[in-house]
Amino acid sequence: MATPSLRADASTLVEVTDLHVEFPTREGVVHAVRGVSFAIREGETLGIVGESGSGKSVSSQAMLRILPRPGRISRGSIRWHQRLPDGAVRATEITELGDRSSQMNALRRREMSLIMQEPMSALSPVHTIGNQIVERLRLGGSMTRAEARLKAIDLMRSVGIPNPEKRIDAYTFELSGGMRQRAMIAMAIGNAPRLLIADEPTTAVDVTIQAQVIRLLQSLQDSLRMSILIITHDLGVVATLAHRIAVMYRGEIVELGPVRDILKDPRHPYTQGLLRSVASLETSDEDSVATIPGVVPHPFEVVPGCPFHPRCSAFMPGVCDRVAPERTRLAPDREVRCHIYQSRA
Amino acid sequence: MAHVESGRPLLAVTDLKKHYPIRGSLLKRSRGSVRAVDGVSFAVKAGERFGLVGESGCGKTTLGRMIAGAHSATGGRITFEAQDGAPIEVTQLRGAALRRYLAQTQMVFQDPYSSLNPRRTVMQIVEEPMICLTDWDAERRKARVLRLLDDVGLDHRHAHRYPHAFSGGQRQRIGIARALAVGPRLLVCDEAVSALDVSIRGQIINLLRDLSAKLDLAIIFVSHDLGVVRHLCQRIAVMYAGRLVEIAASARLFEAPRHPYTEALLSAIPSVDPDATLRPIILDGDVADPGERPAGCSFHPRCRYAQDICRRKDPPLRAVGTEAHLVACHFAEDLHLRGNRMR
Ligand SMILES: Nc1ncnc2c1ncn2[C@@H]1O[C@H](COP(=O)(O)OP(=O)(O)OP(=O)(O)O)[C@@H](O)[C@H]1O
Ligand SMILES: Nc1ncnc2c1ncn2[C@@H]1O[C@H](COP(=O)(O)OP(=O)(O)OP(=O)(O)O)[C@@H](O)[C@H]1O
Ligand SMILES: [Mg+2]
Ligand SMILES: [Mg+2]
Repeated sequence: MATPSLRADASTLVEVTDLHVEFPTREGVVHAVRGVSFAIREGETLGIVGESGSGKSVSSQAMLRILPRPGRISRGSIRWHQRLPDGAVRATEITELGDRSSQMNALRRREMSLIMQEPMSALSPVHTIGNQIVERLRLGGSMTRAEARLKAIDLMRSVGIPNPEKRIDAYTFELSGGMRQRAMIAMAIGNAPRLLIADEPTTAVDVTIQAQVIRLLQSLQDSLRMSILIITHDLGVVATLAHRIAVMYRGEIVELGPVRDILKDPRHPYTQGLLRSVASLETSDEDSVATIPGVVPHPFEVVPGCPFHPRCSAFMPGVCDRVAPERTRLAPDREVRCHIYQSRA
Repeated sequence: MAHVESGRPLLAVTDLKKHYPIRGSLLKRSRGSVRAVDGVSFAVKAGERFGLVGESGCGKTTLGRMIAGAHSATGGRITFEAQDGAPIEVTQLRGAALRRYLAQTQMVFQDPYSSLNPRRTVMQIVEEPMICLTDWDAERRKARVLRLLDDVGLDHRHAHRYPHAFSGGQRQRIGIARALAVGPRLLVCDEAVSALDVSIRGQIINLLRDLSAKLDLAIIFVSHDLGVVRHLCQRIAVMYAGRLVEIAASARLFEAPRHPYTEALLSAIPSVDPDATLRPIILDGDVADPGERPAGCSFHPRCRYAQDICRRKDPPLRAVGTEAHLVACHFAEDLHLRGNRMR
């Protein structure tokens, strides 16, 4: 499959710089996001992959200012660029807005929307699926209930929910896991957002419906120049949909670059290990799956130096366990956070 | 490829059905039913790892929950071989007999976040099924929890922590330790690894494979990740609209599928190789709705090989080529379908 290409004139939609997020808990502070920086251009898809618990969802929740308690942004900037009707660009600093301020509400209603990782916690058990989609559509503008209901049925069909005329009156417990997930997708794309954040949007659906969802997102992107931030463990989905990938490990982006370059030539030892696991799952039937050795440290533990050093095959004693590596630029659009490349640069 | 010795099955499912009534939206009268599981038959041997894949909404979770005793069946039989060799009719169990069965069949769920009670420590979570389903004393239960934590690769130091700060992979291990607590002989895993990163997915698969060999534990593994299923399971069943449409040994199913739905499914596995050439077969038409099954073969409206007979006659699941390869398609012998070796 050809790597998706991006229009050359794309300009930055959102820019995240040195973002830190903490969860102060009774047992200790979880430093969930530790200095993450990336930008997303108009019409671009950025994929975030990485370790379970590395801060992927939390980073996206910070952008929408919907961090679960007791999470808080402790440092950094999130700059949103809004194109006004006259062509001028207005920048908004999201970290300076209140979680529930009218400006933030307006951004969430009209500019960004989210497909949540866990549909059950995002959907209401006491309202029909149709009413929930209709409410979401009406938040965005001027639709009547009847118009919104017709639109909801269309949306449900486009994400592959069978018999939407009937299912629109179903409650979430009457839907299968994958149908709930597709209902969430319908809700999130209904208002044609500038940025769609899709957190594991297809884990609960089979691969043929997944292919249908991916084609739908691509066509929305083409027609609306929508930007997409997709978070997923499925590198096949990333390879198909994303232009660039960010790889996260324990709260940091350890590698960032064009999707093709990273999948063909991963540089960070964590990315290399991850791709080896994928390859071993795809090939052998007999042997055990190749995994990255060692265990993920508990979130309260403080790891000095590079967070990956206890599990790294290229570990350099005295360096990696002492000093945190800086970001090193390998090419104009490509960077890595690892001492191997830093000492060479 | 490991083969399971032929022998008596641990679990036999015969013509199993689950129909949910459809609520009328205005008059609260029932308008027919969703036939979520509609006549499923298969058997699993002791220690066998059996994969279940298929379209989203085709009835996999419903089937798994009936086997684990969490849902009642509308029709059909589930027969389980008790430790003493006597058959148990699961669908007829009540009270103490049902509890004894539940100790033999445990379930692991998809979501490692909401399936663990946040107000209980790891120790309490893993101990709970022993309190409910056995008469073991506290000392024996505590000792067993520590052994189980070893088995699933979790540090004892974590036994008194609460689950909220654990990573997804660690939580899934806690869920597996809890499921193993009462010594089941069958584990039903419903999307048990889909929330985890690939390296941890690999660890859990290796763990399940080892446990199944060590404890002679049978596993029914439901997943949309076909690579994982192929890796873990010796046999795979493909489900479509409430029925099984193909059952075969894993390698055979991937290399030489004989049902057109299986072919489409295999073709849609996205590859990480940006230069991969396999093109997904696009299934036109509506996704199957178990509430409104068409006449004839359920798959015919979307099948690119459909003929007249497919619109009229429902094909039974039958052996094709070998006894071990079952297919529900009128043209199973004639079609030359594309497999997916993946690489
Ligand atoms: N409410 C909370 N209280 C304390 N810690 C939290 C809370 N929510 C998240 N965390 C911590 O933040 C870290 C990052 O979590 P996040 O959900 O972003 O991971 P993720 O990368 O999305 O993982 P996954 O792939 O499993 O979804 C985790 O280590 C977790 O322990
Ligand atoms: N409580 C219920 N009431 C009515 N219909 C239901 C109920 N539970 C499930 N269904 C329906 O039964 C069918 C099968 O659902 P099930 O959850 O078993 O599918 P599944 O194969 O596990 O799907 P997925 O892969 O998306 O998890 C679906 O059409 C669903 O809408
Ligand atoms: Mg997440
Ligand atoms: Mg399910």
